[in-house]
Amino acid sequence: MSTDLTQGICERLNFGDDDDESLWGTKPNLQLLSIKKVVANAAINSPDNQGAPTTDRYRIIISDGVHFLQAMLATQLNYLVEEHRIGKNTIAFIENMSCQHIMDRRIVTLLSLRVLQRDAQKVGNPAPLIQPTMDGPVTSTPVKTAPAPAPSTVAQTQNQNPIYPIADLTPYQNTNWWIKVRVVQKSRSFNVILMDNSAEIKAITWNAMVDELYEKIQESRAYFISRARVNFVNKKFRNVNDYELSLDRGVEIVECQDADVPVIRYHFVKVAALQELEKEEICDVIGVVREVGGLSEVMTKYNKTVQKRELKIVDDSKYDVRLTLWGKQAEKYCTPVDTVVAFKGVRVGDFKGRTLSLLSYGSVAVSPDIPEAHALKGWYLDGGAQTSFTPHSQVGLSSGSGGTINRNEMRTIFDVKDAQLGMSDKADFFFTRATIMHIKTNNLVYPACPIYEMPEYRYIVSMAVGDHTGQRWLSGFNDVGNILFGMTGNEFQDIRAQDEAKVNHIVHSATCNSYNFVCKAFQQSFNDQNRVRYNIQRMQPLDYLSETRNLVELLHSAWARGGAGHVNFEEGHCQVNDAVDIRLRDCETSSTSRCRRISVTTVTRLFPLST
Amino acid sequence: MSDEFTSPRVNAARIKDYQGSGHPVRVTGKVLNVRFCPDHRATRVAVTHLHDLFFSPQFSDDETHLVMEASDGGHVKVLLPAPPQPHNVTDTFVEIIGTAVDASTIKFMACINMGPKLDLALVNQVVELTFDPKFRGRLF
Repeated sequence: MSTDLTQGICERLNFGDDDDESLWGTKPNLQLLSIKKVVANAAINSPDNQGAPTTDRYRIIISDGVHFLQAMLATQLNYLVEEHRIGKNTIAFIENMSCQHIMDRRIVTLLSLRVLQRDAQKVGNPAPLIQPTMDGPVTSTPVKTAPAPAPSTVAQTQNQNPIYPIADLTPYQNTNWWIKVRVVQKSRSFNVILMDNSAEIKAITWNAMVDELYEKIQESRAYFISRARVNFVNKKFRNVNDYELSLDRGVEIVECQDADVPVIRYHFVKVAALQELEKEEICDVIGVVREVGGLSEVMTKYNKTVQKRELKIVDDSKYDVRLTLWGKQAEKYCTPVDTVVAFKGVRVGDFKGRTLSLLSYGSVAVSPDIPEAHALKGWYLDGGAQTSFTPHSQVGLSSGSGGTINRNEMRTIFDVKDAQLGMSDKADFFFTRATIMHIKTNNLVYPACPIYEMPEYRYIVSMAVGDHTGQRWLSGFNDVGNILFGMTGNEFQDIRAQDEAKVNHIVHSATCNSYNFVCKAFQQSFNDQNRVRYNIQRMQPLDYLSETRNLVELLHSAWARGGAGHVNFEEGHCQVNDAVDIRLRDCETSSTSRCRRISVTTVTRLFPLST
Repeated sequence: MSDEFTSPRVNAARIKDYQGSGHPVRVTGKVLNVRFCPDHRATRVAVTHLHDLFFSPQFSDDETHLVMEASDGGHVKVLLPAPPQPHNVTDTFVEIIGTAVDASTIKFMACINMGPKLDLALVNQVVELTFDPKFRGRLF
């Protein structure tokens, strides 16, 4: 079959009669100029649509080489788009089509088609047709109107969404609005931040100069610049300088080969001193990167995803802090741990203590040749690496390596109750090491999203954990279940459906294991009763080797050495050295000597027992 | 804790404190070799450090025994039960429970296999800590 388009069919479809069988029964060749996905918005569509799952619809511009027309693809043909059988400029033989009336417009619907040529050149120079507006019931006389612009202040898009005039846009409405606009001007620009020994300034170029200068100006190089314009700038966005440079035609830029080029000037803040900075303040930090998280994607408010990576840096102020990289900087980061990295332009956040976030115009310099970097490297190699760092934030890295169970902050179960964690309005976080005593077996998995035929089963675990001081009920979710049972919720559910006894066996094997927990304690009211609940944020199997090393170190430390004979401590805090702060609790009932028992469980737990 | 059911963990240097008492002790360490009489069958044991093979004239060849390195580095001979009694020594690192025959010999009673990797220095630290007068009273 030839791939010639059926010229004139678009005009006929546009102006023809609804009842014209011969028209709607034709099988023309058409070119699909463009295909656009349209998601049916249930909130805006008519009420009887609400509650139905939203389906994608594809809007297609069909052309016969002379004119083009709007059309919709029938949903049963959606697969053609999804499997890339049809695309831009595809020529197709339309086997079946019909017209539908939506509001006052006629929409051609393609019900069945056969692809003649998937990739093709655009045929002809099709011009738009104007939709005839139908008022009242359909008449049999064809309406032929000269194409005239049809302005209306609130027109309709394909999806019946109302169109707003630009003048009516405000920041206070939600983002569901549509505007119909014409592009008046398009320009490109790029900007750079320049600095010398005195200050910094931003420089922008536009349009034609962009092409000229984009390659000419490179990061980390130095230039002589002249004949640039100085403009006032809106200080809200940057606190770099009141002015900015405009690099227009006539600007002179010469690369600088001198040795004494201005270097990047940093105003470093020690990690420990971050506590004194306010939220949103901008500063620079330099430190040794201890941990690097994996690259993850997060959703922003506007339904856009952005890449993110978390690092943990430490410095010789003996504190550590989390630092987040975004976008390109997150993707590009590939420096190994234990290197000195300087970050310029980080914003201080107060999420659970202090956190840092690299601004978009901030920079990352690995092992820079500056005295602070050398000093840090020296300190780190000279034993600084072995320091116990106090974290600025309680919670560990959100992805990737390790997580930070801070052993110095470990609490016993009894302690958790005694310190009344979670009793105040704020949630408290704590670390503890405990053994699982009992797992509630009813309702361990639930189907998430029950509408689907194949729901994903997720865990919800309620378990009692104990240590030598007491027992508490903790609750955990899917991650906890995965670690506990070593299988996904779906697998667990499958076994549960088949064999009850096996489920008991699995739960039984999960019991009596010990883990490190990061928990959140908070109040929850339940039928007018306030109860403290403990949620597991993170659960980690014990690395017996490092835990034991820690304990041995503790036993050799000053705390253990204090006093000859047996150990005698009063209840309460005991400051041992800078890094360790231990709260001791009585384990025996004797009222005179309150001593911390070197728990037998920890010694025998050194090795796995063969059962 | 009843005395006959406790078995303190010792290293090579401390075996002599329990010598001849019939009190069971535990020695955690690394199996160096196993020597067996030709007409007995021995289970397969990982043979490591062949250059450490400890041939001492006083060991008689008609007993089944193995040599292990305790957590402090000292070598200890373990007298294995004569077959048909089986012993389950299969891994490189083991904890042998037994009675001290003399200062460097243990008579096998039981074995716990500990896998291919174990930090013996750490084990030794723990052993020494349990004998530390400061902590000893609380343990045994």
